[in-house]
Amino acid sequence: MEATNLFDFYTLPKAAEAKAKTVKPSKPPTLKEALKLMTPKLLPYAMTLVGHVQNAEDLCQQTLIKLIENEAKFLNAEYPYAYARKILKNLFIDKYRQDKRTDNLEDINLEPIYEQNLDASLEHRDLLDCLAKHEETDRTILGMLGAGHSYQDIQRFLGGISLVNLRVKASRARTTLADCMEGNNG
Amino acid sequence: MDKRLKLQVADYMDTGWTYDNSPELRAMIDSIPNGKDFYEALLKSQAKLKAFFGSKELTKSINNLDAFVDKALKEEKKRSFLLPLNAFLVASCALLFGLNLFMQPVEVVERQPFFNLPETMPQPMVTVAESSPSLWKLADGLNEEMDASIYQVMFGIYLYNMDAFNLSMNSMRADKALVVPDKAFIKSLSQKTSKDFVKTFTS
Repeated sequence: MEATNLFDFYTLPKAAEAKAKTVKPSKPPTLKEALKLMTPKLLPYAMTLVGHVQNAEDLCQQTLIKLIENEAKFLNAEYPYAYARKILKNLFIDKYRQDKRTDNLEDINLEPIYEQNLDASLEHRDLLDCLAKHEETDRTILGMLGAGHSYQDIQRFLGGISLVNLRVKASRARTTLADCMEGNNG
Repeated sequence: MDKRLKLQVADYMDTGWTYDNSPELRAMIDSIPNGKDFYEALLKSQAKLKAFFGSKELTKSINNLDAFVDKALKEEKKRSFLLPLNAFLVASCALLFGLNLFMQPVEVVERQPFFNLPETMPQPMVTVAESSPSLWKLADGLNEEMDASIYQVMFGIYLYNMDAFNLSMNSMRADKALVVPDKAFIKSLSQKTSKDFVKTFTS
């Protein structure tokens, strides 16, 4: 099966990139490679939604199963990372709907369910509380930056956002988070 | 503190500048009220983010997910091998079942002979030379039945029973029986040749 290389798995430094172009085109990843590159990015995102590693892992497992089932769509998607993120988000919404018994998407889309994880370590409580006040994209950016991902990675994961815009959003999110944690929202 | 300045501080920090290593950033923070507090808050929030999203637990979880991918794909591979086999078996069963619905019960039909043989086969006509006064008279009685000339009949009888003659057509042996050839053989003989042959013995 032919797959796109929109994952940009084989991104090389600029000097090496010019050389590589003359040698051979980069090879699209296999499903296994793609999934393994996906998990480190999915997990922080899942954590921004559920606020707990164990629950995030469960959510990621369900997402991976869905991705395996939809192998062709996933590998040929224009934004494979964004496709995976969308699946995870939908699974989260399903779970949330199941728990909260609500059908109003506006209520649940951007609202994380940290309150279900009261057993989560209390030292992160203030961070989670402040993250909950941010919108979904900002939470994702902060979570992925915290997990050590580059802006390029985050850009691919979010899909359809310029790097400049992303950096501005990241700075704003950092500022508001710092304000919130310091308790001076004014 | 001005929001624009806050953003600028956050942006500078993103490029790797700190209060200690960058005079520009230090000057900016020092020039604004509560600047140092905000800087500390930024550092604290970043450290908290790293501690929460970059924890060992998270790394362990990523390893678990990688192991899960390996396991899931192995099972998928097995399933993808068994799936066509199962599909083939189901299709075969369905086909056999479907065919059975349309098949008629088999009737055993006795085999009919291609042609019927008579119980008694026709025997060749045999006559004894003793009972026939001469070949001419024997042929004279048969030529109408054979639809042939008398010479053809005589020549045919002679060719068919060479051992019943003492070389000449005129001297028939009395101890030998003559077998009369069938009509097709007689008709296959040329009339002229037959006549010429017979004439050689009569002249």
